Amino acid sequence: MKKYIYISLLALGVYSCDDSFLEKEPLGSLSVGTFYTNEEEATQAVNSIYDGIQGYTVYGAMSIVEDVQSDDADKGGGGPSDQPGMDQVQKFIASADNHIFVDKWKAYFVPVFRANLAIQKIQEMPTESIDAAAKEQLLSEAKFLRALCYFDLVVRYGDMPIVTEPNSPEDYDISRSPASEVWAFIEGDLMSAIEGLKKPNELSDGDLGRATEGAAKALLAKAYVFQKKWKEAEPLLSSVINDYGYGLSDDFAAIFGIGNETNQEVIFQVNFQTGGSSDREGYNRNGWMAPRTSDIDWGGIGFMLPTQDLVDEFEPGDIRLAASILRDGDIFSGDVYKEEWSTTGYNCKKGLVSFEDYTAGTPYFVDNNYVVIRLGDIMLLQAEVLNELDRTSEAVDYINPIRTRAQVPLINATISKEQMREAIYHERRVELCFEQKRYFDLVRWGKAAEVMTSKGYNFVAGKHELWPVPQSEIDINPNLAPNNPNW
Amino acid sequence: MMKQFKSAITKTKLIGFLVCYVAFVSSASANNDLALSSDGKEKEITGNVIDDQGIPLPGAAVVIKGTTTGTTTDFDGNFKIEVPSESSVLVISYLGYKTMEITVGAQSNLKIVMEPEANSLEGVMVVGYGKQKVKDLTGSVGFVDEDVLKESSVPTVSQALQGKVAGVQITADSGEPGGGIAVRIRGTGTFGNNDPLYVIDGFPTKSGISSVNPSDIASISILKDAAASAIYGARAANGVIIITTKKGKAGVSKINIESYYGFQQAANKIDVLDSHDYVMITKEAYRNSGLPDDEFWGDANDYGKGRRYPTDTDWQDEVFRNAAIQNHQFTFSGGSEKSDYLFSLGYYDLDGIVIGSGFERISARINGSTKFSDKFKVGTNLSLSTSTQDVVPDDHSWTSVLFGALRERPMVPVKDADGNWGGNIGPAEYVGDGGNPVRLALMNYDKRKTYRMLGNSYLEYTPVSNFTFKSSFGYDFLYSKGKNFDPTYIEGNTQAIQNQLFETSSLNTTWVWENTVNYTFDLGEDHHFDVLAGITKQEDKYETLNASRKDYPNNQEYIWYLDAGTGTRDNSGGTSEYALMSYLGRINYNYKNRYLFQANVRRDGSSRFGESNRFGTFPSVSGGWIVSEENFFENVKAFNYVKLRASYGKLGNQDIYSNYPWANNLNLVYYPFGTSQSTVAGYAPNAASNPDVTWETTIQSNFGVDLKMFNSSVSFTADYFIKDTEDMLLTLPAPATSGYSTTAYTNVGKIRNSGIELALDYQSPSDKAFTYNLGGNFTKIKNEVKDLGTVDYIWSDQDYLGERWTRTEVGMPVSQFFGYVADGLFQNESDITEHGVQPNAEPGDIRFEDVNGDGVLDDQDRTYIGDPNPDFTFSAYAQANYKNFDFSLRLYGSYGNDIYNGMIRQLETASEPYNKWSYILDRWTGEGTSNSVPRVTRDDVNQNTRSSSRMVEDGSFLRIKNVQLGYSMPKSVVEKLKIERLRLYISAENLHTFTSYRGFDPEMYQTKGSRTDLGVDRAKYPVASSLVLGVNLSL
Repeated sequence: MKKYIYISLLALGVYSCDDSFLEKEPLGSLSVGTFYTNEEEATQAVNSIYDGIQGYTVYGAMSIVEDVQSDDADKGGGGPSDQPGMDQVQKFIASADNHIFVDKWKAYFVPVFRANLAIQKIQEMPTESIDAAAKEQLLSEAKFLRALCYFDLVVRYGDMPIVTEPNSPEDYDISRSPASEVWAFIEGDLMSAIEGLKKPNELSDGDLGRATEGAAKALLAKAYVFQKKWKEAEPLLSSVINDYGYGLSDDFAAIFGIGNETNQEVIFQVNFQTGGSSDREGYNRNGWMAPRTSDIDWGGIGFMLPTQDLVDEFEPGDIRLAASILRDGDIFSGDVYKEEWSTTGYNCKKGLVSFEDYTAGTPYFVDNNYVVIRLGDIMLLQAEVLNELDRTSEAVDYINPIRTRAQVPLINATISKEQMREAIYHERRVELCFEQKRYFDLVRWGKAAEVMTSKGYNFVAGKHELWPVPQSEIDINPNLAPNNPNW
Repeated sequence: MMKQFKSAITKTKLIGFLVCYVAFVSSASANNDLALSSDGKEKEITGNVIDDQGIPLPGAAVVIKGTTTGTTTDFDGNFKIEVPSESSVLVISYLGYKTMEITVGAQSNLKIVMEPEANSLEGVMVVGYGKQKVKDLTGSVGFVDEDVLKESSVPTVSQALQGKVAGVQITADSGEPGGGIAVRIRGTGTFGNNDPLYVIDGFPTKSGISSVNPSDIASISILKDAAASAIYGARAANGVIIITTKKGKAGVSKINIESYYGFQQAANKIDVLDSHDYVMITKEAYRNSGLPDDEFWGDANDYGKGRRYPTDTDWQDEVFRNAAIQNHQFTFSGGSEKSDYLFSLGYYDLDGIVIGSGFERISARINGSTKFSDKFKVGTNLSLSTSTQDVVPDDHSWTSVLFGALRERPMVPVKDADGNWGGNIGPAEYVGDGGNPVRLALMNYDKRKTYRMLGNSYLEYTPVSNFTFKSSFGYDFLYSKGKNFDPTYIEGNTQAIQNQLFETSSLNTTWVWENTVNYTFDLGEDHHFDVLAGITKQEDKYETLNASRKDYPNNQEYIWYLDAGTGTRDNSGGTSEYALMSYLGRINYNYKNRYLFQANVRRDGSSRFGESNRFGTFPSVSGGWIVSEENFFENVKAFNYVKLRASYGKLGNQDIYSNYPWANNLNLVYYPFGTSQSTVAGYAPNAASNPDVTWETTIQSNFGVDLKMFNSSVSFTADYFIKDTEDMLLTLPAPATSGYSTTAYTNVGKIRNSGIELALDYQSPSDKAFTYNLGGNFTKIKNEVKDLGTVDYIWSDQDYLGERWTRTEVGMPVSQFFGYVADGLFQNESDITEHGVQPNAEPGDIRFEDVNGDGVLDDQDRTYIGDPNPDFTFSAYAQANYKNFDFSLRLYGSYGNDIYNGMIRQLETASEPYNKWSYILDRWTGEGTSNSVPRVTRDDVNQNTRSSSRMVEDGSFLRIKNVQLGYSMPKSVVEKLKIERLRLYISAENLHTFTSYRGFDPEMYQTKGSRTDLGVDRAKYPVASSLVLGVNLSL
């Protein structure tokens, strides 16, 4: 008997001692542990941060939310039950777990994480792996993008947790830092980025679209303006306006249209391109804005509908009205626009492309880029800063070129500081509508409660100036409490 | 030592022989007229009776049919008998085995193989890596044989098993032909993969069970508790279903032809509005919202047949159809003393009850074995199959054909006057996101083909009768190919201007090599041992290759090849693999045939886990006590057999969605730079990884009792189990600041399923002309989430129009419906004022409870509003035979489960331009008119459509699962026709369902596409009612 057992055990044993059989490495993908070994890989790590800000709830389609929340636009779409979360935001009845607040918060931390990872890994790279200039350039791009994200976060949510390490266990119970510290963090990143970034004209053709010294200065200036640090902002704004070759685009609509990557007015934008390796790179906001009608081949789902109040804000003859808003009888993409396509009678036109530019036959994949910072905005900020510094007469030099382009009467240099302030408030609204600027301008000016309530919105002063920290995030990390006032 | 064993075997045999002999003789004596006839013209026949294992059966009764003449087999199973003529029929019977009838014919030496009776105690059941007698089982095992599988005319094994075994919940989550069946053994134990492991003729697999032809199956064993399934270790946590296919039988050459043909249809429709009512309601909704009474539609009375706008499409009539179903199966089998063979060919074709859907399978099987010496046996089981599934878009979603049929408006024609598809018309407010469902079903072509070769070859070496070494090598080749064409078309005022072809392919290959030794021995008279040991290795590789192109010259099928497209090309592909290596062992110890003990252990190593966690050990122990064998039980006449069982053990689940959960990988992303905006690559990790991740562990205890009473006519089995999933793999919500939305897979969750399973069967005496069999089973499972790591609850992974409808919270069953509590309607302004928390509401709107009583109605007032888990499920059956007629009936039901009727959300709201559920005609139109159906409103200021208890309905149902009536041709006829058997039958599937649920079909469990949601209905493809006529022919 025993011999059979021995024979069998031997047979079983023959093939059983090979443990390496269980070692299966992932095929067809790269590993974090073995990446970041040369300049190309370091560049690819930084590229992923740009991909992060392209996200659907970062600068993708959901960039409409902030204007829907303002007095510039209604939500639109298929009625209140279509995107009810956004409907609640617009009506100021949203609570702290509204998905709009949740989604934006979450989405911004993706590029922040990628920036932190890239910064950590690139800093660790030895000199033989990457040359010093490239290393500094890439680290600076990462810091610029991290600062951009934090800028957007601090103006929405106020106090923010400052995360500087990639997926560090300590960050799972991180607390919020006061907004002043967040601003200081943003300033630090941008000052460092200004040192390391190239000027726009130093970028190779293939690198167009990367962050530049000019973009970093512009963003830093904006950070100062939001903190009312007028004196610090002024020289930076001046440098952006004068030192980098930016200029106002003669054609206002072209700033936002197909081919805008080379527009001289653009200081920083998020790039979208259909086709290539993946359709996902297409600009999907277009489909959300296109009129909700099947009468036309370029129809979309009709969100972010301009309000009558905004239309009324335009002065007679202002060419920006026709460039920004579709009105009854307008010709677009070969069709006559009908006001019945929208519940407000208007559709957003800024950045909308014609049917012939629908790359994949749908409105969701088009090629124009989303403009984040442009000279028009910077010049109006400079006008505002100079006015606040009591240099009102100089301010007209920055507001009037904008008005000239808009074909509206120039502002007299002799008006009062207060009149100039009102003029700038007006100008920013009509110049920058649907560019996610309005709501934050109102808050920054301290006018949000007054303006919104006067127009019948359910705005609560002392509450709606900020978004809440998402309740779900506080549930996961209680150290994020307390929430913003009155939320 | 050998000698001792042999003598033990001899003794057992001898005792068996004596017992049976005495039994036979005494029954024969009772008959009193048993005498060997001798009329002179006799023919002497010798024969040998063995069981299906080749073991001789001593004491089997051999009787000449129609006479009392007979004999019994001797110790070696041999018999000798003189028969009157060649047409004499011998009836061979043996306790616990199916009675056999054999026509003598020209042969003079017969080899008779007896088949154990399925439910008898002597019956042998296939268990993991072996077989066991029913009476010796200590684990909880469900058993279904081919006779029971034959009851239903369904294409897949899982469907055929529905309601057949207690503790096994089988749900057609989609009635799509060839898809969507969820099999849950003892409840939902994980948010990961809950599917059981299938073992087909020894080959373990988790995929493509629809490629297995139910007609090829001889028996199915379902291993439910740890004792039974621990031998499958890290894959056994969800239970194991062992499928054994048919084999040829020694001495019997047979041709079997089974064929049926029939029709099926949808059991019910949902009442929606006609065009007149649609317009009337829409206009009312405008008025109720203070909007101008919309000019677009004009007068409602202009709509309807014979009026100004006569189009009044019934979209459900357009997408449902009476669909054909057919099945043809040819089986050739036979064998000799040394070899057996079986060859089968099957064809199954099912048109779906929704246009454009269908399932077809062609399958072939070759099973055979031969003994090429006393000691060596080789065999092979091989199946080949091709299945084709025609899929209509997106069952269980807003964009599905069926949902489209509900919400497309009735005044839209299927095709317009120009021959284009009917579709959206009118300004913004009237444009929905849906599409013409007929176009969707017929033009959006999606065909999935699966080619599968699954087989194994084995060698058995039996040097002595109680020792066997077996080596088996199996290979599974599963190739799937999909073709999907999106056509260009004009629909209403919209058009799709670009067509596109997608081709997908995947190849899944698996090999398994298993080596086992089995050794049985006795120590003295009372101690019986059965020992198994083995080593197995398995490797699985999965590869995909997908491609697409745009812009085809036309939409015709002949052009649907990649090369014909002129536009953008895209492609993708990847691969993934894993390996398993396992050591297994089992000891069965039987003391005095009444005390049973079993221990199992399996040590599994899986490549899916990091080096330090690669191996895990899964033991189980179980015991049984056959009380009825005790001396003190002799006087208890009513009980023939009483067994108590208990088991305890540990199981694993290594099926965790990723083959490399420990690896920290980079994802490829793109961004366009430069004046040419060409995309460049970027790399970043997009999910956290955990090098310490390991399998889920399930600890299961089981207590059972098996009874046979009243001359074994009544059988009863009861089991109580507690199944604790520990270390459940979860991705928990991570703070966004971590850069990830969830943590890596971490072994933290705990779920407990506990329950009772009852099965009762009554078999009428078999010696009457009218025989019948009644029974049923009952399953009650309590599910409770015990732990979710760092969080108290987890939201659904599904976003339904911006809302989450389910949540899983510690202390409750998985997937509870979540939302507001609706409390009737506001009848007047003072109701609203009194309620206080809904200032925007108007009379006719829904009153929602301020659940937390804080004076504000907001998200915090949402609560648990329903439970999709049934209180119990049950099944009952009846089978009867009278002369040549046979009849079977099976009922199946579920009680106490809720369904989230997700259709209400879109079929009730007047904010969106969809057709409405016709109950809206009973809406609130003034004080006292309704307290349940709210007023219709265009702007819905009160958000009447928010997730609330109004959407939750009772999903209990009782279904007449199948009814079959058969007629077998009388012996005289079949003999004339020179055939063995001819049976005709009529069979109905899902004949009727009793339920109060308003959707298409209450049979609902896992929500398609979701890991977390149960019981959410978005117009699921209902299971069909069918009626077939069939024939069984044996030659």
